[in-house]
Amino acid sequence: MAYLLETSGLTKRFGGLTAVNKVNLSVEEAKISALIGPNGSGKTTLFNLLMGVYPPNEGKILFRNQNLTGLIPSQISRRGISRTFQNIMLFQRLSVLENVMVARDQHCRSTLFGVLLGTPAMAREDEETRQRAKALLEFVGLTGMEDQEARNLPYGAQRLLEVARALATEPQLVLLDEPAAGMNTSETHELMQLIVKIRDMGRTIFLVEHDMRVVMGISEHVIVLNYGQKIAEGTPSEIQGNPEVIQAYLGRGKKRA
Amino acid sequence: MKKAINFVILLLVFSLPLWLPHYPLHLACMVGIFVILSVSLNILVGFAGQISLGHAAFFAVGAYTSTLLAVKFGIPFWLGIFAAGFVSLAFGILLGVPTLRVRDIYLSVVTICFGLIVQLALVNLESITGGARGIYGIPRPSILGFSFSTPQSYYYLILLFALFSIFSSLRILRSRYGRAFLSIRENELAAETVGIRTTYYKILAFAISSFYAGLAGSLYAHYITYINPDAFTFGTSIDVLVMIVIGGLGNTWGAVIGAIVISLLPEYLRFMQQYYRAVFGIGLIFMMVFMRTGIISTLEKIPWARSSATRMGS
Repeated sequence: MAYLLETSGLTKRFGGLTAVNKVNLSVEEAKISALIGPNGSGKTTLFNLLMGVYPPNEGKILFRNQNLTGLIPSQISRRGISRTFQNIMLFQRLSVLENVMVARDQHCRSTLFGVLLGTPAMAREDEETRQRAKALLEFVGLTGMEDQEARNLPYGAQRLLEVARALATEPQLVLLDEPAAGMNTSETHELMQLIVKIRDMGRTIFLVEHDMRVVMGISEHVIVLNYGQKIAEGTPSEIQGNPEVIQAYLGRGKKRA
Repeated sequence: MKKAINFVILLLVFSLPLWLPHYPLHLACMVGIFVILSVSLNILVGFAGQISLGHAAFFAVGAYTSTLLAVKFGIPFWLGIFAAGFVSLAFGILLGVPTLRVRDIYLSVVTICFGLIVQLALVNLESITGGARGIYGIPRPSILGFSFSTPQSYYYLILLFALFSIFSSLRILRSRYGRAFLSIRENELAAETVGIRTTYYKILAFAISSFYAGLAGSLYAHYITYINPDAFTFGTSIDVLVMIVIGGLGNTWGAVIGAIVISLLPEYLRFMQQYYRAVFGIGLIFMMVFMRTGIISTLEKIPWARSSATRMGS
């Protein structure tokens, strides 16, 4: 079994609170893995650690057998990890197309002098960036909205734009932080198909999600966090029957007097 | 219609020296210098979102660099102005690096301090800068025996550099560099996450911005032929910031219009004598209240004034 991402003993403390506590997990290549857990169990903190938003207090992150610990987000992005945000973080006053084009910066080679002189190589690269961005917008189903400002998009479309932008960096691992949050049933259904399509392109998906239809419907491996610790992992059906998981979500049954 | 108006404006800009009297033409030259300053500050503040209240420092570094090269070493203007640009650029990087750790209001305080330090250095390094008395007798540039000694000819020199800075700014905005700058302005964490090296791009924004300010400084020094620290005060930095805000932050043509309005308005208010500064201030407040996104976005509501160049970056 090939693991794309592995963490060992990953720990993050905020003051007295241990948000992520000695987590060992591995994400298999070209599969859809899910991270679930009650509110405040440390899922987003874990994603922030993987993306390098802040460094861990202890532990290691290995990606394709390279140590990522201590790198900043732009470096991690260039090593092949990309993410979306739970609370949407688009470039609000840029157009939809520009939002995606920005994310291709790491694949652009033109220099400032090339830009000022308007060299053919620069023009070609810019056109290629534009075409690839357009293709990604088509892929997520946002064709025709290229020129709108991102902030004017409807909510569901903003989530899709985040996905398109995340794909534009050409990542091997895509972290999706609650991609279905706030979506209605049909939007959620389309999103699930989209995620499967991204997996079928050979990209690995690791998602945080509260919507159990999404988690149980498409993920191949599920990891459960509670109070910053990993309490279970396995296939969706294994997780559904796990008493510890049920207890974490619903609490311990109390006998009434 | 739009084409016709652009043509008229262009004709006007190029023909000014042919029919403007001496003093208004001098004002036009000063406007041109401030256009370069505001367009360059707009790259840093309007595009990259890094607030700077110390732009006059780079203007000063450029002016003193090319002045000293010309007066003490007899270096021709054509070399001096680019030396001014690059020395100023070096100072921009010098300021850019420590400011990476601060943002917003804290960044503006650091840039104010930087401006004050440069100002103090100019006053106190008397043996080099001439102190508060400044430096006299800066030569007007000449090329192949032709001297830019008249305001008419110097106007075209300034126009050349002003057009160069406007053109550069427009080109940069539409490139990967402009997109990276704007993404940092819009959301720094998201920019980092998609692989934008925000550290590099922020320093680059400081570098580009200070390079053009250095050119403006050199043009100013060789035009007035006399410089002293009074031309490069905190007030000058504020003026340039007001230009880009009034014009429309993040918009190159907005920066141009802002520079024209803010440079000329006090001149046309002079008939009010001692009250003109107060009227000017009140005027600015009204502009900010009724055109909060700047003159340019108000103009854009008029169909013929809308152009593709003014679209990006609101």
